[in-house]
Amino acid sequence: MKIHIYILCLVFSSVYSESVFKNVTVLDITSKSEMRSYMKSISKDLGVKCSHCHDMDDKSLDTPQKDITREMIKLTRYLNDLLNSQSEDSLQSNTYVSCWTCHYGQLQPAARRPGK
Amino acid sequence: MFASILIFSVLYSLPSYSIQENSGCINCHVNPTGGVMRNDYGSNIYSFDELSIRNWITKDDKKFDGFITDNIQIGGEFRIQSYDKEVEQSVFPMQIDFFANIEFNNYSSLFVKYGVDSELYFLFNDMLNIDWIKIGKTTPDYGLKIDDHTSFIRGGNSSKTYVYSGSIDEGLVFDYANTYQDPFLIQFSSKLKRVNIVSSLGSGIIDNGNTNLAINLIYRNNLDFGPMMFGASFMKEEQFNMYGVYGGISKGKITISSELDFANNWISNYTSMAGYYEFLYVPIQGVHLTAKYDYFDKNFDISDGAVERYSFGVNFFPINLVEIKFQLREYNLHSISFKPNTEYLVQLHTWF
Repeated sequence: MKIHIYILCLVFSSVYSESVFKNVTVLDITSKSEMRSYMKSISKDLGVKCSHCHDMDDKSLDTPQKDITREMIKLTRYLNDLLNSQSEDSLQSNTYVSCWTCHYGQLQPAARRPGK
Repeated sequence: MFASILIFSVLYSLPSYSIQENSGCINCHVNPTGGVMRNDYGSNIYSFDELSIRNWITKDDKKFDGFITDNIQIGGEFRIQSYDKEVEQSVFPMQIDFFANIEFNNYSSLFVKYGVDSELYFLFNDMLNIDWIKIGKTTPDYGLKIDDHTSFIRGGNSSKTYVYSGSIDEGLVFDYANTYQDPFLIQFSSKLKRVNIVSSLGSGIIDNGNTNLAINLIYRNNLDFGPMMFGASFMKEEQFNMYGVYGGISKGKITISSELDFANNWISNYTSMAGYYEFLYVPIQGVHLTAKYDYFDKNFDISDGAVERYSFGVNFFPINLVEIKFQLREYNLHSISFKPNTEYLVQLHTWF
């Protein structure tokens, strides 16, 4: 009997479920898996854990680091749009610039080339 | 050779990780008060990238993380344990659980667990200025929700060591292996600055006909020294009441956590005391060295018996989603002329 109730709950809820990200102001991602991949790539590109930007009890809360990240995302988007507009194939949308381009796995991008 | 089949279903999360990460159970678990099913971060980030020695699944698209859709997640958790006490040995499945979580929207979800014990609750977030409200069959929030049900702050050994053999005179009320069943309750969580307050009112856990009240306060902060947590818990059910303090600190690779509880009228009309202290050292990612001390005294009088347990172990995470635990446990009995054998445990644990 119990298992029937569980199955009913599952079926009912799967029909009526929806998901919206909270407090996403810059990104236009709608699926969780895509958001996760994007977040993981930022974390690897900067060499930081999620807790560097997020309040881990409520990841949707604003933090000063999130504000910086948002500006950086706008910067890469602007650069990519600019480079794509100058591309011969104007229909193609390529990623020319990402966090990795400057950060190279480090939180602070190197301002000078390393000494010999 | 003695073999038995015992399954204890309700197992919890790891407060040491919560202290290290300076966050609540909700960081990694679907259930905001911890336990079994991991959420997206717990499954896909912590379990995959931050726990194991090496990743046997490296590409996001190659793994099965339990998400059927963005809103519907299924999962399972399994433990098998080998137990050797010199005169007796056994291998038994310790946990076989299947669960599902469905998010209707950002504000409501349903969790279902099917195993030896069942759990079913609705969770409502950000409503009426309350962080969340949980309604259904689930566990009251009390103390550290450690994954070792044999600790005396939970329920003690299923066979009740030997101090008061065969009786319930060892361990506190969360005796998953024998008497404990999740009650039906309504549970609230709200935040007052850095203090998280979780309270619940529901059916009794000692006697189903009673009313059980539980309150848990948790304070977390990230100090210059490192993350710290401090908490206080209270539970009352008719004549029975229980209160305790717990906490922990973390610095680099070391995390220390502890809990001390007093229970009135749990064992006869005594005041019983249970203590738990854990030292965790993580030399490299995937290898956790633990030392634990457990204490229980049924009547606050060491002269007529009390039990101490020293546990030393290695929790080894060789690859994603696999944990192998090795543990040695030594007992010390007070005022009883009996020396129990050393226990050796090996546990294989996997989840998704």
